[in-house]
Amino acid sequence: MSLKNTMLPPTDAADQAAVENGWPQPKGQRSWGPYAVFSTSVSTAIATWCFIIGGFASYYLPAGQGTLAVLAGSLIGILFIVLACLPVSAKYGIDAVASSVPQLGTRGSSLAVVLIYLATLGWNVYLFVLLGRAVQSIGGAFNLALPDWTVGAAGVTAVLLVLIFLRKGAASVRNFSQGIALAVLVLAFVIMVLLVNSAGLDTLMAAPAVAPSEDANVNWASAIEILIASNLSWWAYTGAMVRNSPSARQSLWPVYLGLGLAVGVGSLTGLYGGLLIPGSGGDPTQFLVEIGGPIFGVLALTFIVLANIGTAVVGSYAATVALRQVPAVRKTSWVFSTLIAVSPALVLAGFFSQAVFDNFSIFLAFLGIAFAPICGLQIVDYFFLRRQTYDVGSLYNKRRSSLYYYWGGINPVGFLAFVAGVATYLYLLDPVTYISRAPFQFMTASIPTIVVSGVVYWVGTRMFLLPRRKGGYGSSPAASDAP
Amino acid sequence: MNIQPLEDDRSASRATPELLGTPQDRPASHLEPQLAQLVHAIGLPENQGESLTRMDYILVLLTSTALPVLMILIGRLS
Repeated sequence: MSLKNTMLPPTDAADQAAVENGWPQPKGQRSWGPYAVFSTSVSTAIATWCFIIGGFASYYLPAGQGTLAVLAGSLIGILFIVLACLPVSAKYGIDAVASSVPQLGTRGSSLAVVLIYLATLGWNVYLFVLLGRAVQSIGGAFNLALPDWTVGAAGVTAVLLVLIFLRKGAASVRNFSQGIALAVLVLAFVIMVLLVNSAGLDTLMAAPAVAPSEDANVNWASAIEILIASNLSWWAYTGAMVRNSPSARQSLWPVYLGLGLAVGVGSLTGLYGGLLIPGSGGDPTQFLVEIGGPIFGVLALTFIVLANIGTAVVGSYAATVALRQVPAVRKTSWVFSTLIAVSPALVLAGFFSQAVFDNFSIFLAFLGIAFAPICGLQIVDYFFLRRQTYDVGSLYNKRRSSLYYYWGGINPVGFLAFVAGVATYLYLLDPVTYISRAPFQFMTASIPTIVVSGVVYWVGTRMFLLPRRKGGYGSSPAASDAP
Repeated sequence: MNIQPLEDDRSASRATPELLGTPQDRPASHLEPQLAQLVHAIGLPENQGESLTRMDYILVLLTSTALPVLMILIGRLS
Protein backbone atom coordinates (compact mmCIF):
# COMPACT_ATOMS: atom_id res chain seq x y z
CA MET A 1 0.00 0.00 0.00
CA SER A 2 1.17 3.48 -0.64
CA LEU A 3 0.77 6.83 0.98
CA LYS A 4 2.12 8.75 -1.91
CA ASN A 5 -1.04 10.65 -2.68
CA THR A 6 -1.07 12.08 0.80
CA MET A 7 2.66 12.64 0.95
CA LEU A 8 3.02 14.87 -2.06
CA PRO A 9 4.59 18.21 -1.30
CA PRO A 10 1.68 20.58 -1.83
CA THR A 11 2.35 23.77 -3.67
CA ASP A 12 0.21 25.85 -1.35
CA ALA A 13 -2.38 25.53 1.38
CA ALA A 14 -5.25 25.08 -1.06
CA ASP A 15 -3.44 22.27 -2.86
CA GLN A 16 -2.71 20.62 0.47
CA ALA A 17 -6.37 20.84 1.49
CA ALA A 18 -7.42 19.33 -1.82
CA VAL A 19 -5.04 16.41 -1.43
CA GLU A 20 -5.65 15.65 2.24
CA ASN A 21 -9.42 16.16 2.26
CA GLY A 22 -10.08 14.28 -0.94
CA TRP A 23 -11.38 17.39 -2.68
CA PRO A 24 -11.44 17.58 -6.47
CA GLN A 25 -8.06 18.31 -7.99
CA PRO A 26 -8.01 20.41 -11.17
CA LYS A 27 -5.74 19.06 -13.88
CA GLY A 28 -3.11 21.74 -13.42
CA GLN A 29 -2.68 20.65 -9.84
CA ARG A 30 -1.86 17.05 -10.65
CA SER A 31 1.76 16.08 -10.98
CA TRP A 32 1.89 12.29 -11.37
CA GLY A 33 3.14 10.84 -14.62
CA PRO A 34 2.73 7.23 -15.79
CA TYR A 35 5.77 6.04 -13.84
CA ALA A 36 4.51 7.51 -10.57
CA VAL A 37 1.13 5.82 -11.09
CA PHE A 38 2.80 2.53 -12.00
CA SER A 39 5.29 2.46 -9.14
CA THR A 40 2.64 3.42 -6.62
CA SER A 41 0.30 0.78 -8.03
CA VAL A 42 2.96 -1.90 -7.69
CA SER A 43 3.77 -0.82 -4.15
CA THR A 44 0.08 -0.92 -3.30
CA ALA A 45 -0.43 -4.40 -4.67
CA ILE A 46 2.77 -6.23 -3.90
CA ALA A 47 3.31 -7.37 -0.34
CA THR A 48 3.74 -10.69 1.39
CA TRP A 49 -0.01 -11.28 1.18
CA CYS A 50 0.60 -12.26 -2.44
CA PHE A 51 2.11 -15.51 -1.14
CA ILE A 52 -1.08 -16.60 0.60
CA ILE A 53 -3.26 -15.47 -2.32
CA GLY A 54 -1.31 -17.82 -4.59
CA GLY A 55 -1.21 -20.43 -1.85
CA PHE A 56 -4.99 -20.46 -1.74
CA ALA A 57 -5.11 -21.04 -5.49
CA SER A 58 -2.92 -24.12 -4.98
CA TYR A 59 -5.85 -25.83 -3.28
CA TYR A 60 -7.62 -26.02 -6.63
CA LEU A 61 -5.20 -26.29 -9.53
CA PRO A 62 -1.72 -27.69 -10.26
CA ALA A 63 1.15 -25.48 -11.37
CA GLY A 64 0.55 -25.20 -15.11
CA GLN A 65 -3.19 -24.62 -14.99
CA GLY A 66 -2.87 -22.61 -11.79
CA THR A 67 -0.42 -20.20 -13.42
CA LEU A 68 -2.85 -19.54 -16.27
CA ALA A 69 -5.84 -19.22 -13.94
CA VAL A 70 -4.04 -16.83 -11.58
CA LEU A 71 -2.96 -14.56 -14.43
CA ALA A 72 -6.37 -14.75 -16.11
CA GLY A 73 -8.13 -13.89 -12.85
CA SER A 74 -5.91 -10.89 -12.25
CA LEU A 75 -6.58 -9.55 -15.77
CA ILE A 76 -10.34 -9.97 -15.37
CA GLY A 77 -10.47 -8.49 -11.86
CA ILE A 78 -8.59 -5.33 -12.69
CA LEU A 79 -10.95 -4.62 -15.61
CA PHE A 80 -13.81 -3.83 -13.24
CA ILE A 81 -11.60 -1.60 -11.13
CA VAL A 82 -10.43 0.27 -14.20
CA LEU A 83 -14.00 0.78 -15.43
CA ALA A 84 -15.43 1.74 -12.03
CA CYS A 85 -12.68 3.98 -10.72
CA LEU A 86 -10.36 5.28 -13.39
CA PRO A 87 -12.61 7.41 -15.64
CA VAL A 88 -14.36 9.20 -12.77
CA SER A 89 -11.38 9.81 -10.54
CA ALA A 90 -9.16 10.90 -13.40
CA LYS A 91 -11.77 13.25 -14.82
CA TYR A 92 -12.68 15.05 -11.61
CA GLY A 93 -9.64 14.34 -9.43
CA ILE A 94 -11.74 12.70 -6.72
CA ASP A 95 -11.23 9.62 -4.55
CA ALA A 96 -13.28 6.44 -4.06
CA VAL A 97 -15.54 7.75 -1.30
CA ALA A 98 -16.51 10.87 -3.25
CA SER A 99 -17.12 8.82 -6.38
CA SER A 100 -19.61 6.61 -4.50
CA VAL A 101 -21.83 9.53 -3.44
CA PRO A 102 -23.97 9.61 -6.65
CA GLN A 103 -24.95 5.96 -6.18
CA LEU A 104 -25.22 5.70 -2.40
CA GLY A 105 -26.16 9.24 -1.38
CA THR A 106 -24.41 11.93 0.61
CA ARG A 107 -24.77 9.95 3.84
CA GLY A 108 -24.93 6.52 2.27
CA SER A 109 -21.38 6.92 1.03
CA SER A 110 -20.37 6.14 4.61
CA LEU A 111 -20.74 2.54 3.47
CA ALA A 112 -17.72 3.10 1.24
CA VAL A 113 -15.76 4.40 4.23
CA VAL A 114 -16.64 1.29 6.23
CA LEU A 115 -15.68 -1.04 3.38
CA ILE A 116 -12.38 0.72 2.81
CA TYR A 117 -11.61 0.53 6.52
CA LEU A 118 -12.44 -3.18 6.71
CA ALA A 119 -10.41 -4.01 3.60
CA THR A 120 -7.29 -2.15 4.77
CA LEU A 121 -7.72 -3.58 8.26
CA GLY A 122 -8.06 -7.09 6.89
CA TRP A 123 -4.91 -6.92 4.79
CA ASN A 124 -3.05 -5.49 7.81
CA VAL A 125 -4.19 -8.36 10.03
CA TYR A 126 -2.75 -10.86 7.56
CA LEU A 127 0.53 -8.96 7.54
CA PHE A 128 0.72 -9.17 11.34
CA VAL A 129 -0.11 -12.88 11.34
CA LEU A 130 2.48 -13.64 8.65
CA LEU A 131 4.98 -11.64 10.67
CA GLY A 132 4.22 -13.71 13.76
CA ARG A 133 4.64 -16.94 11.81
CA ALA A 134 7.98 -15.65 10.48
CA VAL A 135 9.16 -14.98 14.03
CA GLN A 136 8.18 -18.49 15.07
CA SER A 137 10.07 -19.93 12.09
CA ILE A 138 13.17 -17.89 12.96
CA GLY A 139 13.07 -19.56 16.36
CA GLY A 140 12.77 -22.91 14.61
CA ALA A 141 15.89 -22.17 12.57
CA PHE A 142 17.79 -21.92 15.87
CA ASN A 143 16.21 -25.17 17.11
CA LEU A 144 13.93 -23.25 19.44
CA ALA A 145 10.46 -24.77 19.50
CA LEU A 146 8.59 -21.55 20.15
CA PRO A 147 5.01 -22.14 21.34
CA ASP A 148 2.07 -21.18 19.17
CA TRP A 149 1.25 -18.15 21.27
CA THR A 150 4.53 -16.67 20.04
CA VAL A 151 2.79 -15.91 16.75
CA GLY A 152 0.16 -13.83 18.52
CA ALA A 153 2.68 -12.17 20.81
CA ALA A 154 4.84 -11.17 17.85
CA GLY A 155 1.75 -9.87 16.07
CA VAL A 156 0.77 -7.75 19.08
CA THR A 157 4.31 -6.42 19.38
CA ALA A 158 4.24 -5.47 15.72
CA VAL A 159 0.91 -3.68 16.12
CA LEU A 160 2.32 -1.68 19.03
CA LEU A 161 5.41 -0.81 16.98
CA VAL A 162 3.16 0.38 14.18
CA LEU A 163 1.28 2.57 16.67
CA ILE A 164 4.56 4.11 17.79
CA PHE A 165 5.62 4.76 14.20
CA LEU A 166 2.28 6.40 13.46
CA ARG A 167 2.08 8.64 16.50
CA LYS A 168 3.05 11.76 14.57
CA GLY A 169 0.76 11.12 11.65
CA ALA A 170 1.74 11.35 8.01
CA ALA A 171 4.78 13.47 8.83
CA SER A 172 6.34 10.52 10.64
CA VAL A 173 5.67 8.02 7.88
CA ARG A 174 8.26 7.58 5.19
CA ASN A 175 7.12 6.56 1.77
CA PHE A 176 9.13 3.36 1.83
CA SER A 177 6.45 1.18 0.35
CA GLN A 178 7.98 1.24 -3.12
CA GLY A 179 11.27 -0.09 -1.80
CA ILE A 180 9.46 -2.80 0.13
CA ALA A 181 7.46 -3.78 -2.93
CA LEU A 182 10.60 -4.09 -5.03
CA ALA A 183 12.32 -6.15 -2.34
CA VAL A 184 9.27 -8.42 -1.95
CA LEU A 185 9.25 -8.98 -5.71
CA VAL A 186 12.93 -9.92 -5.60
CA LEU A 187 12.30 -12.20 -2.62
CA ALA A 188 9.38 -13.84 -4.43
CA PHE A 189 11.61 -14.50 -7.43
CA VAL A 190 14.41 -15.91 -5.27
CA ILE A 191 11.97 -18.18 -3.42
CA MET A 192 10.55 -19.34 -6.74
CA VAL A 193 14.04 -20.25 -7.99
CA LEU A 194 14.83 -22.03 -4.73
CA LEU A 195 11.58 -23.98 -4.89
CA VAL A 196 12.22 -25.12 -8.44
CA ASN A 197 15.85 -25.92 -7.69
CA SER A 198 15.09 -27.89 -4.55
CA ALA A 199 12.17 -29.87 -5.91
CA GLY A 200 12.82 -29.83 -9.63
CA LEU A 201 10.64 -28.42 -12.38
CA ASP A 202 9.18 -31.83 -13.18
CA THR A 203 8.13 -32.33 -9.57
CA LEU A 204 6.51 -28.89 -9.51
CA MET A 205 4.60 -29.49 -12.72
CA ALA A 206 3.48 -32.92 -11.52
CA ALA A 207 2.44 -31.78 -8.05
CA PRO A 208 -1.32 -32.20 -7.65
CA ALA A 209 -3.62 -29.52 -6.33
CA VAL A 210 -3.87 -29.63 -2.56
CA ALA A 211 -7.64 -29.97 -2.10
CA PRO A 212 -9.38 -29.83 -5.46
CA SER A 213 -13.07 -30.22 -6.13
CA GLU A 214 -14.26 -33.14 -8.21
CA ASP A 215 -15.52 -30.70 -10.83
CA ALA A 216 -12.69 -29.27 -12.92
CA ASN A 217 -14.82 -26.25 -13.80
CA VAL A 218 -15.22 -25.42 -10.11
CA ASN A 219 -11.47 -25.59 -9.62
CA TRP A 220 -10.85 -23.18 -12.45
CA ALA A 221 -13.59 -20.83 -11.33
CA SER A 222 -12.34 -20.91 -7.73
CA ALA A 223 -8.76 -20.07 -8.67
CA ILE A 224 -9.92 -17.26 -10.96
CA GLU A 225 -12.35 -15.97 -8.33
CA ILE A 226 -9.54 -15.69 -5.77
CA LEU A 227 -7.63 -13.32 -8.03
CA ILE A 228 -10.71 -11.36 -9.09
CA ALA A 229 -11.68 -10.78 -5.46
CA SER A 230 -8.14 -9.80 -4.52
CA ASN A 231 -8.05 -7.28 -7.33
CA LEU A 232 -11.46 -5.84 -6.43
CA SER A 233 -10.01 -4.70 -3.11
CA TRP A 234 -7.95 -2.14 -5.06
CA TRP A 235 -11.19 -0.20 -5.40
CA ALA A 236 -10.20 1.43 -2.13
CA TYR A 237 -6.91 2.75 -3.52
CA THR A 238 -7.27 3.33 -7.26
CA GLY A 239 -9.15 6.61 -7.02
CA ALA A 240 -6.67 8.01 -4.54
CA MET A 241 -3.85 7.29 -6.98
CA VAL A 242 -5.24 8.24 -10.37
CA ARG A 243 -6.71 11.53 -9.12
CA ASN A 244 -3.12 12.76 -8.98
CA SER A 245 -2.58 12.18 -12.70
CA PRO A 246 -3.79 14.67 -15.31
CA SER A 247 -4.75 11.95 -17.75
CA ALA A 248 -6.81 8.78 -17.54
CA ARG A 249 -5.02 7.60 -20.67
CA GLN A 250 -1.63 7.91 -18.97
CA SER A 251 -2.90 6.02 -15.93
CA LEU A 252 -4.74 3.19 -17.68
CA TRP A 253 -1.93 0.72 -18.37
CA PRO A 254 0.17 1.62 -15.32
CA VAL A 255 -2.84 0.78 -13.15
CA TYR A 256 -3.76 -2.27 -15.21
CA LEU A 257 -0.27 -3.73 -15.02
CA GLY A 258 0.86 -2.33 -11.67
CA LEU A 259 -2.23 -3.27 -9.68
CA GLY A 260 -3.75 -6.10 -11.68
CA LEU A 261 -1.06 -8.17 -13.31
CA ALA A 262 1.44 -7.51 -10.51
CA VAL A 263 -0.73 -9.35 -8.00
CA GLY A 264 -1.01 -12.29 -10.36
CA VAL A 265 2.72 -12.49 -10.95
CA GLY A 266 3.45 -11.96 -7.25
CA SER A 267 1.06 -14.76 -6.32
CA LEU A 268 2.76 -17.40 -8.45
CA THR A 269 5.43 -18.05 -5.82
CA GLY A 270 2.69 -18.74 -3.30
CA LEU A 271 1.00 -21.06 -5.78
CA TYR A 272 4.16 -23.08 -6.33
CA GLY A 273 5.05 -23.08 -2.64
CA GLY A 274 1.58 -24.28 -1.74
CA LEU A 275 1.85 -27.13 -4.24
CA LEU A 276 5.34 -28.30 -3.27
CA ILE A 277 4.89 -27.92 0.48
CA PRO A 278 1.27 -28.91 1.10
CA GLY A 279 0.03 -27.50 4.36
CA SER A 280 2.07 -24.31 4.03
CA GLY A 281 -0.78 -22.51 2.27
CA GLY A 282 1.89 -20.82 0.16
CA ASP A 283 3.25 -19.06 3.24
CA PRO A 284 7.04 -19.02 2.73
CA THR A 285 7.67 -18.56 6.44
CA GLN A 286 6.88 -22.26 6.73
CA PHE A 287 9.53 -23.48 4.31
CA LEU A 288 12.17 -20.80 3.79
CA VAL A 289 14.68 -22.41 6.14
CA GLU A 290 13.99 -25.82 4.62
CA ILE A 291 14.63 -24.79 1.03
CA GLY A 292 17.21 -22.03 1.54
CA GLY A 293 19.20 -23.27 4.48
CA PRO A 294 19.41 -21.65 7.92
CA ILE A 295 21.41 -18.56 6.96
CA PHE A 296 19.30 -17.56 3.95
CA GLY A 297 16.17 -18.67 5.78
CA VAL A 298 16.76 -16.48 8.80
CA LEU A 299 17.77 -13.50 6.66
CA ALA A 300 14.69 -13.85 4.46
CA LEU A 301 12.40 -14.34 7.44
CA THR A 302 13.87 -11.29 9.14
CA PHE A 303 13.25 -9.34 5.97
CA ILE A 304 9.62 -10.52 5.96
CA VAL A 305 9.23 -9.30 9.54
CA LEU A 306 10.62 -5.86 8.70
CA ALA A 307 8.78 -5.59 5.38
CA ASN A 308 5.48 -6.48 6.99
CA ILE A 309 5.93 -3.83 9.66
CA GLY A 310 6.70 -1.28 6.95
CA THR A 311 3.70 -2.25 4.86
CA ALA A 312 1.48 -2.35 7.93
CA VAL A 313 2.52 1.17 8.92
CA VAL A 314 1.30 2.41 5.57
CA GLY A 315 -1.82 0.25 5.67
CA SER A 316 -2.68 1.30 9.21
CA TYR A 317 -2.27 4.92 8.21
CA ALA A 318 -4.71 4.34 5.34
CA ALA A 319 -7.15 2.62 7.70
CA THR A 320 -6.90 5.52 10.14
CA VAL A 321 -7.52 8.07 7.41
CA ALA A 322 -10.60 6.13 6.32
CA LEU A 323 -11.87 5.91 9.88
CA ARG A 324 -11.33 9.63 10.47
CA GLN A 325 -13.92 10.36 7.81
CA VAL A 326 -16.40 9.43 10.54
CA PRO A 327 -17.09 12.76 12.32
CA ALA A 328 -17.01 11.25 15.82
CA VAL A 329 -13.57 9.76 15.19
CA ARG A 330 -12.27 12.93 13.52
CA LYS A 331 -12.93 14.82 16.75
CA THR A 332 -10.50 12.59 18.65
CA SER A 333 -6.72 12.97 18.64
CA TRP A 334 -4.67 11.38 15.87
CA VAL A 335 -3.05 8.94 18.29
CA PHE A 336 -6.42 7.84 19.66
CA SER A 337 -7.70 7.46 16.09
CA THR A 338 -4.82 5.16 15.19
CA LEU A 339 -5.49 3.15 18.34
CA ILE A 340 -9.14 2.73 17.36
CA ALA A 341 -8.14 1.85 13.80
CA VAL A 342 -5.70 -0.91 14.73
CA SER A 343 -7.47 -2.27 17.82
CA PRO A 344 -9.26 -5.01 15.89
CA ALA A 345 -5.91 -6.03 14.40
CA LEU A 346 -4.48 -6.17 17.92
CA VAL A 347 -7.17 -8.62 18.98
CA LEU A 348 -7.29 -10.70 15.80
CA ALA A 349 -3.53 -11.01 15.30
CA GLY A 350 -2.88 -11.38 19.01
CA PHE A 351 -5.43 -13.97 20.02
CA PHE A 352 -6.82 -15.55 16.88
CA SER A 353 -3.82 -15.73 14.56
CA GLN A 354 -4.31 -19.36 13.57
CA ALA A 355 -8.03 -18.91 12.99
CA VAL A 356 -7.33 -15.79 10.93
CA PHE A 357 -4.80 -17.62 8.77
CA ASP A 358 -7.07 -20.63 8.33
CA ASN A 359 -9.96 -18.44 7.21
CA PHE A 360 -8.28 -16.44 4.50
CA SER A 361 -11.03 -17.62 2.17
CA ILE A 362 -13.58 -15.66 4.20
CA PHE A 363 -11.58 -12.48 3.83
CA LEU A 364 -11.22 -13.02 0.09
CA ALA A 365 -14.96 -13.62 -0.17
CA PHE A 366 -15.57 -10.45 1.84
CA LEU A 367 -13.58 -8.48 -0.73
CA GLY A 368 -15.79 -9.84 -3.50
CA ILE A 369 -18.97 -9.29 -1.50
CA ALA A 370 -18.00 -5.74 -0.62
CA PHE A 371 -16.51 -4.36 -3.79
CA ALA A 372 -18.12 -6.30 -6.64
CA PRO A 373 -21.55 -4.68 -6.06
CA ILE A 374 -20.00 -1.22 -5.72
CA CYS A 375 -18.20 -1.69 -9.03
CA GLY A 376 -21.46 -2.78 -10.68
CA LEU A 377 -23.31 0.28 -9.42
CA GLN A 378 -20.62 2.70 -10.44
CA ILE A 379 -20.05 1.30 -13.91
CA VAL A 380 -23.75 1.34 -14.77
CA ASP A 381 -24.36 4.74 -13.21
CA TYR A 382 -21.43 6.52 -14.80
CA PHE A 383 -21.59 5.01 -18.28
CA PHE A 384 -25.26 4.18 -18.84
CA LEU A 385 -27.28 6.51 -16.61
CA ARG A 386 -25.33 9.73 -16.23
CA ARG A 387 -23.42 9.71 -19.51
CA GLN A 388 -20.09 10.25 -17.73
CA THR A 389 -21.06 13.46 -15.98
CA TYR A 390 -21.34 14.12 -12.24
CA ASP A 391 -22.27 17.26 -10.37
CA VAL A 392 -19.06 17.69 -8.40
CA GLY A 393 -20.49 20.29 -6.02
CA SER A 394 -23.18 17.84 -4.93
CA LEU A 395 -20.54 15.26 -4.04
CA TYR A 396 -19.38 17.46 -1.17
CA ASN A 397 -22.67 19.14 -0.29
CA LYS A 398 -24.34 17.32 2.61
CA ARG A 399 -27.52 19.45 2.48
CA ARG A 400 -30.83 18.84 0.80
CA SER A 401 -29.72 21.02 -2.09
CA SER A 402 -27.28 18.31 -3.16
CA LEU A 403 -28.44 16.40 -6.21
CA TYR A 404 -27.35 13.26 -4.40
CA TYR A 405 -29.23 13.87 -1.16
CA TYR A 406 -32.05 11.48 -2.19
CA TRP A 407 -33.98 10.70 1.00
CA GLY A 408 -32.12 11.73 4.12
CA GLY A 409 -28.82 11.43 2.27
CA ILE A 410 -29.40 7.82 1.30
CA ASN A 411 -30.26 6.35 -2.09
CA PRO A 412 -32.48 3.31 -1.44
CA VAL A 413 -31.98 2.05 -4.98
CA GLY A 414 -28.22 2.04 -4.49
CA PHE A 415 -28.52 0.06 -1.29
CA LEU A 416 -31.07 -2.31 -2.81
CA ALA A 417 -28.69 -3.00 -5.69
CA PHE A 418 -25.83 -3.48 -3.25
CA VAL A 419 -27.87 -5.99 -1.22
CA ALA A 420 -28.90 -7.78 -4.42
CA GLY A 421 -25.22 -8.10 -5.31
CA VAL A 422 -24.33 -9.42 -1.86
CA ALA A 423 -27.17 -11.97 -2.05
CA THR A 424 -25.99 -13.07 -5.48
CA TYR A 425 -22.48 -13.63 -4.23
CA LEU A 426 -23.63 -15.53 -1.15
CA TYR A 427 -25.89 -17.71 -3.28
CA LEU A 428 -23.08 -18.60 -5.65
CA LEU A 429 -20.29 -19.09 -3.15
CA ASP A 430 -20.42 -19.89 0.56
CA PRO A 431 -17.63 -17.72 2.00
CA VAL A 432 -17.05 -20.07 4.93
CA THR A 433 -17.00 -23.48 3.25
CA TYR A 434 -16.21 -22.22 -0.25
CA ILE A 435 -18.88 -24.60 -1.54
CA SER A 436 -20.38 -23.19 -4.71
CA ARG A 437 -23.64 -23.33 -6.60
CA ALA A 438 -24.26 -23.18 -10.34
CA PRO A 439 -23.47 -21.18 -12.39
CA PHE A 440 -20.38 -20.41 -10.29
CA GLN A 441 -18.33 -22.99 -12.19
CA PHE A 442 -18.85 -21.07 -15.43
CA MET A 443 -19.03 -17.47 -14.24
CA THR A 444 -17.26 -17.23 -10.84
CA ALA A 445 -19.09 -15.31 -8.10
CA SER A 446 -17.82 -11.76 -8.53
CA ILE A 447 -18.73 -11.37 -12.20
CA PRO A 448 -22.45 -12.24 -11.76
CA THR A 449 -22.48 -10.08 -8.63
CA ILE A 450 -21.25 -7.09 -10.61
CA VAL A 451 -23.83 -7.75 -13.34
CA VAL A 452 -26.77 -8.27 -10.98
CA SER A 453 -26.06 -5.20 -8.85
CA GLY A 454 -25.60 -3.11 -11.99
CA VAL A 455 -28.83 -4.33 -13.58
CA VAL A 456 -30.83 -3.83 -10.38
CA TYR A 457 -29.45 -0.30 -10.10
CA TRP A 458 -30.29 0.49 -13.70
CA VAL A 459 -33.85 -0.87 -13.42
CA GLY A 460 -34.44 0.76 -10.04
CA THR A 461 -33.20 4.11 -11.28
CA ARG A 462 -35.33 4.05 -14.42
CA MET A 463 -38.46 2.87 -12.62
CA PHE A 464 -38.18 4.59 -9.26
CA LEU A 465 -35.71 7.49 -9.18
CA LEU A 466 -36.21 8.92 -12.64
CA PRO A 467 -40.00 9.43 -12.34
CA ARG A 468 -39.42 11.15 -9.00
CA ARG A 469 -36.56 13.22 -10.36
CA LYS A 470 -34.29 12.19 -7.54
CA GLY A 471 -30.54 11.91 -7.54
CA GLY A 472 -30.04 14.30 -10.41
CA TYR A 473 -31.83 11.91 -12.76
CA GLY A 474 -34.34 13.79 -14.90
CA SER A 475 -34.49 17.43 -14.01
CA SER A 476 -33.03 19.12 -10.97
CA PRO A 477 -34.86 18.65 -7.69
CA ALA A 478 -36.18 21.62 -5.84
CA ALA A 479 -33.13 23.19 -4.37
CA SER A 480 -33.17 23.96 -0.73
CA ASP A 481 -30.41 25.29 1.40
CA ALA A 482 -32.07 24.05 4.53
CA PRO A 483 -29.56 22.13 6.60
CA MET B 1 -2.77 26.73 -7.38
CA ASN B 2 -2.48 26.33 -11.07
CA ILE B 3 -6.09 26.31 -12.12
CA GLN B 4 -7.98 28.04 -14.84
CA PRO B 5 -9.90 31.26 -14.14
CA LEU B 6 -13.46 30.86 -12.96
CA GLU B 7 -15.28 33.65 -14.68
CA ASP B 8 -18.34 32.65 -16.67
CA ASP B 9 -17.73 28.97 -15.98
CA ARG B 10 -21.41 28.11 -16.33
CA SER B 11 -21.23 28.39 -20.07
CA ALA B 12 -18.63 25.65 -20.11
CA SER B 13 -20.82 23.06 -18.47
CA ARG B 14 -23.82 22.91 -20.71
CA ALA B 15 -23.34 19.40 -22.05
CA THR B 16 -26.53 18.20 -20.42
CA PRO B 17 -26.90 14.41 -20.44
CA GLU B 18 -30.22 12.77 -20.97
CA LEU B 19 -30.83 12.04 -17.35
CA LEU B 20 -29.02 14.85 -15.71
CA GLY B 21 -29.91 18.39 -14.77
CA THR B 22 -27.41 21.16 -15.21
CA PRO B 23 -24.61 20.20 -12.86
CA GLN B 24 -22.67 23.35 -12.25
CA ASP B 25 -25.86 25.36 -11.84
CA ARG B 26 -26.20 23.88 -8.38
CA PRO B 27 -25.49 26.41 -5.65
CA ALA B 28 -22.21 25.77 -3.86
CA SER B 29 -22.36 28.82 -1.63
CA HIS B 30 -22.38 26.81 1.58
CA LEU B 31 -19.23 24.87 0.71
CA GLU B 32 -15.96 25.97 2.22
CA PRO B 33 -14.48 28.75 0.06
CA GLN B 34 -11.49 26.70 -1.09
CA LEU B 35 -13.70 23.74 -1.88
CA ALA B 36 -16.24 25.90 -3.68
CA GLN B 37 -13.44 27.33 -5.80
CA LEU B 38 -12.22 23.87 -6.69
CA VAL B 39 -15.74 22.70 -7.50
CA HIS B 40 -16.25 25.60 -9.88
CA ALA B 41 -12.83 25.08 -11.41
CA ILE B 42 -13.35 21.38 -12.04
CA GLY B 43 -16.52 22.25 -13.94
CA LEU B 44 -14.39 23.71 -16.70
CA PRO B 45 -13.42 21.07 -19.25
CA GLU B 46 -9.85 22.36 -19.37
CA ASN B 47 -9.49 21.60 -15.65
CA GLN B 48 -10.75 18.04 -16.01
CA GLY B 49 -8.45 15.10 -16.57
CA GLU B 50 -8.01 13.70 -20.04
CA SER B 51 -10.58 10.96 -20.63
CA LEU B 52 -10.06 7.51 -22.08
CA THR B 53 -10.74 7.19 -25.77
CA ARG B 54 -12.93 4.59 -27.44
CA MET B 55 -9.78 2.76 -28.53
CA ASP B 56 -8.55 2.64 -24.93
CA TYR B 57 -11.79 0.97 -23.86
CA ILE B 58 -11.62 -1.48 -26.75
CA LEU B 59 -8.03 -2.43 -25.95
CA VAL B 60 -8.61 -2.88 -22.24
CA LEU B 61 -11.78 -4.90 -22.84
CA LEU B 62 -9.98 -7.12 -25.33
CA THR B 63 -7.02 -7.63 -22.98
CA SER B 64 -9.32 -8.47 -20.10
CA THR B 65 -11.55 -10.87 -21.99
CA ALA B 66 -9.74 -12.36 -24.98
CA LEU B 67 -6.47 -13.00 -23.16
CA PRO B 68 -8.05 -14.72 -20.13
CA VAL B 69 -10.31 -16.80 -22.41
CA LEU B 70 -7.24 -17.86 -24.36
CA MET B 71 -5.39 -18.76 -21.16
CA ILE B 72 -8.35 -20.76 -19.88
CA LEU B 73 -8.68 -22.61 -23.19
CA ILE B 74 -4.99 -23.44 -23.25
CA GLY B 75 -5.15 -24.60 -19.64
CA ARG B 76 -8.23 -26.73 -20.16
CA LEU B 77 -6.86 -28.37 -23.29
CA SER B 78 -3.45 -29.11 -21.80
